[in-house]
Amino acid sequence: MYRYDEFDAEFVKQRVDQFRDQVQRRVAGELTEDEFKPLRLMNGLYLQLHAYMLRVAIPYGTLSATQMYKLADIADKYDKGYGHFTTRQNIQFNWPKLNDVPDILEELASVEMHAIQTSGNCIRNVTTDQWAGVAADEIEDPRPVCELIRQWSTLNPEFAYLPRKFKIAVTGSSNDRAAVKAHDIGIITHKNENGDIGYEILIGGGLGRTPFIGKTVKKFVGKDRLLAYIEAVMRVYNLQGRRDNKYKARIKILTHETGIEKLSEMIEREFERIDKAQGELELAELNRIESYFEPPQYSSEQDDSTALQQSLEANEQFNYWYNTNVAKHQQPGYAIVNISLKPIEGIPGDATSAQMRLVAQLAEQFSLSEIRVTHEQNLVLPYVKQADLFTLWQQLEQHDLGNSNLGLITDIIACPGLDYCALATARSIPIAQKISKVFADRRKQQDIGKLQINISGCINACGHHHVGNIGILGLDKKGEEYYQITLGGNADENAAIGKITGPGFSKDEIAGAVETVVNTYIENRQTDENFIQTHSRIGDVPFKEALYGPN
Amino acid sequence: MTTKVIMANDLLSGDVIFLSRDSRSWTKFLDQAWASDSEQLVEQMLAAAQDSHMIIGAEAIEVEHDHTGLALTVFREHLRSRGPSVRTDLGKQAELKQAA
Ligand code: SF4
Repeated sequence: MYRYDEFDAEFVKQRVDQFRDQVQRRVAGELTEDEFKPLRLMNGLYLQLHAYMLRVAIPYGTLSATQMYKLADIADKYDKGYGHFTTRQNIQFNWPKLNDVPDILEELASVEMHAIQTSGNCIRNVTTDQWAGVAADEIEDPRPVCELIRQWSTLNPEFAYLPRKFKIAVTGSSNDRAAVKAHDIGIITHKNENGDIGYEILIGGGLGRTPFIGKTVKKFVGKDRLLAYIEAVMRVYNLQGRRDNKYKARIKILTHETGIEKLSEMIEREFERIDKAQGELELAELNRIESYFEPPQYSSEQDDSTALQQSLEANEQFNYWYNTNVAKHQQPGYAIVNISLKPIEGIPGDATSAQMRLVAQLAEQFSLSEIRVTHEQNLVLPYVKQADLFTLWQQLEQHDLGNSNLGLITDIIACPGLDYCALATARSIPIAQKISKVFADRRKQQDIGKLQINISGCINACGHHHVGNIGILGLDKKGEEYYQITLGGNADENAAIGKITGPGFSKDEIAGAVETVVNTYIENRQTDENFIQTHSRIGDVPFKEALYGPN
Repeated sequence: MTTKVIMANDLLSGDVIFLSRDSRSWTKFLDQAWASDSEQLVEQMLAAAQDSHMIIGAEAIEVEHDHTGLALTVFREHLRSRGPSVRTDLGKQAELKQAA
């Protein structure tokens, strides 16, 4: 794993000291709330519906066991014994007290973590594939590029006051598990015919009020010029982005209004102006960073050992979990274990401090002390020997973490919604709970197959409902919560924005409406067709008719 | 005529609070809140609350009188006065349950 250098450590420490002073001045009445609010937001501290909320960055979703233990301790000592993993691979604490926050930040700094750039109009936490460095289909581990961007963007004064927040995601594989096309900048790793690795750059993706899928602005940029190209994109956006209207200030609107060709020319001109010699330094830095992400010393193991086969045959539940939650590793004899934080009727993404500690302990025992957080609000143990899978699963089962539903209908992505969020127009979590109850039966879930449901509690779309195969958006209609359904969204390499089916449903109707959609899929599917394939073959009409009647 | 309470967040704890019946201190519980039909009085109280540096986001919020006493009319504010509906073991609703 990457470790902070002295610069990182020093600046995080300075920020903690600064914030402690700012809190003291606020409490003493020397700063007004209007003066203090931007300062607390710069340190990830929001005021939500019931209390403050602290958002902690987990760069590219990678956590050490030590860091996870610390998060568990913070949850117990300063919060209410749990945390919420978000769709941006971060964690949120829902109940910190103002005077405790500097201490929390100090504790985070002791394990090389912070809450900087988790809010505000700056470059936010860079996200990536949760299977980075271990995925069987990977061209390159995307984390060194993420770290390079993190270092370059952290406290970069040129980009500290952008027109709006800015999100970057990177995938090292052509199978996109990082939803890169839904980001301001999406980076896709490619290998050209000469065997050189380079990056395709997409811009203008984003969800929220006006959703867009990112468009390719550069087909291939070499390693030595990647940062220069991103810098060129940022400069053009910083100058041209609409600062006059908050709702039009994201790069997606600039891309849409200017057109990708014209914008690409502007970026190219800026790119050419950036000194090529800078590339040498960046390449050297990338090489230095890459050394931190060298593959670990794997032991020599065989795929599908007899012991594993025997356990799979002997235990049906384990077999089921193995088939849903375990993914293929690039190293023979190893496996990627996905821990679902989506128990039936649970709160998507929530983990208790006891569960966090268990995952940390299992990471130490079975996964080289490393954990990943996914944008689907689950956790991953990336380095598990296949021979250890059965023992690991038994421990997960004992602590309510053995949910066998990865990628299935009950693996629902949901934002906090009106249960916590000050911006919400409706609740998300109870809807996720109701739907997961309807589809609780394991065999039913398995029969339905791969199906992603995403729920957002307002148009800001933190639950990424636009790219859910079934998307649900919670709105307020004359004081009542109601829910719009979108169909056909997709977050992977075939990214698409879902289309609204028609009038919304009340909170009591929505789970039934989802069931109607699913039944329509089952009635119409052909052999081996998953939901999204059936939907793209038959279109919206049969679903609309099932929901609203003919015409 | 609408009845209103003054609702805000406490600077230190972040808790949702109401101006209490003595119209000087603050309470976490709606049933102890100061309420008035007088627009002028509500505005005075709101202005005083907004001046206090230990209080954030003070607003005058509409309430109704029902059989339990005061009730918030907007669902969002109702949730704020209680806690997350998906974690009834947390927030003010939990304290109320304990007290009962
Ligand atoms: S989508 Fe809306 S309700 Fe949900 S977390 Fe984002 S801002 Fe809050």
